[in-house]
Amino acid sequence: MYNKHKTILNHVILILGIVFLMLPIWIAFASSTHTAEHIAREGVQFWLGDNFWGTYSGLLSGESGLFAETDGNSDQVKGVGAGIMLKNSIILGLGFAIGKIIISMTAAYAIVYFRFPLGNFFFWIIFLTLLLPLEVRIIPSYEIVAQLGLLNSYTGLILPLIASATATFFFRQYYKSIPDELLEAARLDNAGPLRFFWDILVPLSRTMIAAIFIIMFVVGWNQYLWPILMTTDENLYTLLLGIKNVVNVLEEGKIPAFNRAFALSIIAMLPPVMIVIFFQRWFIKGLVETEK
Amino acid sequence: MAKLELTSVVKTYPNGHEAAKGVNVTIEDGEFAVFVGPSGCGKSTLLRMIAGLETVTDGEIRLGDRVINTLEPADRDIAMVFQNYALYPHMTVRKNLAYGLINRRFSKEEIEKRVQEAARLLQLEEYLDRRPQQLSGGQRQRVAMGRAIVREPEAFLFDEPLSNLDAKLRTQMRLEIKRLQKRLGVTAVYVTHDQVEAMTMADRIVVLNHGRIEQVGTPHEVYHKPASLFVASFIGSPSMNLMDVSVGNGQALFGEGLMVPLSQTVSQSEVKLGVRPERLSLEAAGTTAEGRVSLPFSVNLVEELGANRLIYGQIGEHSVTVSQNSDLPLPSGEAVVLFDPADIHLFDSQSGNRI
Amino acid sequence: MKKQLFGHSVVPYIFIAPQLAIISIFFLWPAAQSVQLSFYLEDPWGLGSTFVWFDNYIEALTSESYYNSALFTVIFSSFVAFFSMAIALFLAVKADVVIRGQATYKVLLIWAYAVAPAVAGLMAVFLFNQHLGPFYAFFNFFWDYDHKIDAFDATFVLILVAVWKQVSVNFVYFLAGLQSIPKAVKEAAAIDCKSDTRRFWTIVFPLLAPTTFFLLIINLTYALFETFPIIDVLTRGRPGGETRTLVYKVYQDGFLGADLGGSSAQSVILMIIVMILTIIQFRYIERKIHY
Repeated sequence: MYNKHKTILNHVILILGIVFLMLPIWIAFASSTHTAEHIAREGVQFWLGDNFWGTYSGLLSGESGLFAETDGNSDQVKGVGAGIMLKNSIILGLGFAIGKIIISMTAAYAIVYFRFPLGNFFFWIIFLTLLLPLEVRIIPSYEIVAQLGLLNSYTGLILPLIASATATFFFRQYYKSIPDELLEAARLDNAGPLRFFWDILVPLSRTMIAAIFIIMFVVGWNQYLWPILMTTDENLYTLLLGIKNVVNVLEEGKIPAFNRAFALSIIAMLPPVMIVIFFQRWFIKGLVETEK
Repeated sequence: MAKLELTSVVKTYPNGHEAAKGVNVTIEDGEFAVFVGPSGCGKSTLLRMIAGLETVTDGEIRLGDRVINTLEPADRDIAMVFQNYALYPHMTVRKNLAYGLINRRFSKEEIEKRVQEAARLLQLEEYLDRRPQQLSGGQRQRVAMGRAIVREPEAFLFDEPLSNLDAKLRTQMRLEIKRLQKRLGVTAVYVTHDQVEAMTMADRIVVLNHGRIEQVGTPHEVYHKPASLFVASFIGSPSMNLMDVSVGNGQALFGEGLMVPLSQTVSQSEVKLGVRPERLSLEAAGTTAEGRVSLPFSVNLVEELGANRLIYGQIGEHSVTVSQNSDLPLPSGEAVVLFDPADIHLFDSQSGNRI
Repeated sequence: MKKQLFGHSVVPYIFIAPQLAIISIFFLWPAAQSVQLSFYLEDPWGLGSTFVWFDNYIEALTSESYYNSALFTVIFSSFVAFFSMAIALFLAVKADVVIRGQATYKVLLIWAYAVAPAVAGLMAVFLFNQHLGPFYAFFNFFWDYDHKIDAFDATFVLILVAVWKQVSVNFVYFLAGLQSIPKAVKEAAAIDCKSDTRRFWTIVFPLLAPTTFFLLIINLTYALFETFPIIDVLTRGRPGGETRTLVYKVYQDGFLGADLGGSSAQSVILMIIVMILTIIQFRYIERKIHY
């Protein structure tokens, strides 16, 4: 309070922190507004160019591929446009978040508010899912999805991902914190279990649902490995899959269209980041509550 | 000399709120000063400005021979006892006491000596190796005080330290704090919203309202000669009876032909007249007494408090409270109140100041 | 358990069914298969498999490549956890203390959570590219930087990107933790101690212990699993497989190497590690360092 120098130093440090985080993003965005040739010649850009529309409309529509234009060479593969990938990412994010919330709220309700045979057993099974992240059970999961004929489908994309207990635990914690008096009052008002859940518990959980939704949407949107493995149909590609394609291009030694690669990165990160920023209070609440 | 001087101290918050509007007061070395007032009067803000936990917008604070308003709290040679004790939860009592001294590079022997002495003074010797959460409220409060004592500062600052204790413990601790301060002879500023606490503990009381000082004086002065309407009604429980009366011919006119002679000349035609409930005695109608005036009083409600009795009633249209010893008989039928005109306080209706 | 419960009803079964169904099909079954596969060795022509007891496990645990991968994982995780937490703590302490602009700083520091690791990795690919990337030139200035051929440099980039992404999350938790320390305790410390560095290490940091411990587990889990895309995009385990975390090795051996048995055994080992981490976390939450 009394030391101006210290205060200025604090602000400088915070600003440096912000720069550390934002610099790559800025460079990516700035570069995306140039043409691929410009970047190939001059390296990544720090200042804005004039090809914003060219890059983004081309990318979104699928007119321009992820490879550098090579004079009508048949190497030029026009893949599906980023617009379609955007749509699929949205479907994945929403489906994942909504699916997760529905099954966890209901499962947590059953666990907390009922004593039923096998109840404890089921709880432990659900707990078990915290132990194995997807990456570790990925091959058998693939086999099963293939056997069920769910490859290249939204169902197959989303369902295996929601098989973990994180949100269930969160709602369980939350339900436990709700005062018993509420249930007692509801029973006096002749509310059965379904009524209580729908009329009282769900509205009460509104902020929690919002918080979990935001976090889960981001998690779903950012899924990497699973979509890569089980999607071969271009029309189902998500934006993250598009990212993988750029990497594949690089692996093959081909030169990608840098501006569009950067643009793809920007599009892939923009919606989740926007959501986290606009709903930051719920986002932070969701994170911090899960600590308990 | 650890004299504490506040000169024209102003505190304005960024949102425009003026918590202190030019406060001037001097607290003498070794004096126990109590800052008292309702919530929001600025007493805590002033204390925190003395401590260095709030910045001073304008004005000067001197402690001893130094100007301290731009110094870091740790450099001001003050010690503070917080309302919620603010003990370090992860440290033992011993460490809590020693922490301030360790940081100031006192020798191990000196630290041990001071810690032991404070523990002895406050009866904490058994608890030295316990953690705060293992202590009761009263014990924690004593550790908070011990932390202040070991520092041997130029001034103690107390921020409503007894508010979180139950009534019985509070009265006990009040005495202990006052005794301790007298024994150590350290200048002390004590903040409270409880006027009873202020009256019993203070050498001098500073009555604050809306960021300004209403009066500085001994408990006796503040009780017997309140400088304003605010002080008159804030100090004393039950609070002083205040009535709007008109003045004519050296008499205070209560309406309905009731009047009482005034011992002082008054230029205003309308004043606020105050008499303390305990200075009124309730008698049967027709009773008179030497040197006392009488006014008819109709009884509305009686509250028995054990040793005391409160009688709520009216003089004319004015609501008046009488406080009397419960041994005294309650008059049945018509009654009057008797009082000494010297017990009348007059205040200007506009400014609230004492006339 | 809640005191008030609903009596006999078919509702809990219906409500818990969806999650159980999905878990059974997409978790238990594959997990069981993983475990089962780990005990078999696939015939090189894919015609059958032989039961080999714990051979796959022994092979995995004694192989040099597994050892290297484990070593890399330990180093990588430690550095990622340490640096992302340290930087975040530093920033959180400053953010807690500034009076003006705290809300703005907060927003501008938490968003990186939402960036997918793969996206971060891709940007790093270009930014560290030999021909295009300014950072390549920057680091080359200090030493002979080339993450394609030098394991140290590759590890360096991976750690940098992983830390970059994780700082936001740690920042959110640390800031919340700092703000949950009672203001009066900080003020008492201000009176007792002039140096704010000292105040931090003797008062604030100890009181942050629960948060720090929690974040340690979160960060280790992140480094173990969620950094998979970063590795896949940036180095793919190169040079020479020296930048593979254990989970990446599971993927490579299983999918690309078609060693289902060995890969499954590695999965099970990983599962045991996660189990231990999770148990520590839950145990700890029960006996929370409570002041």
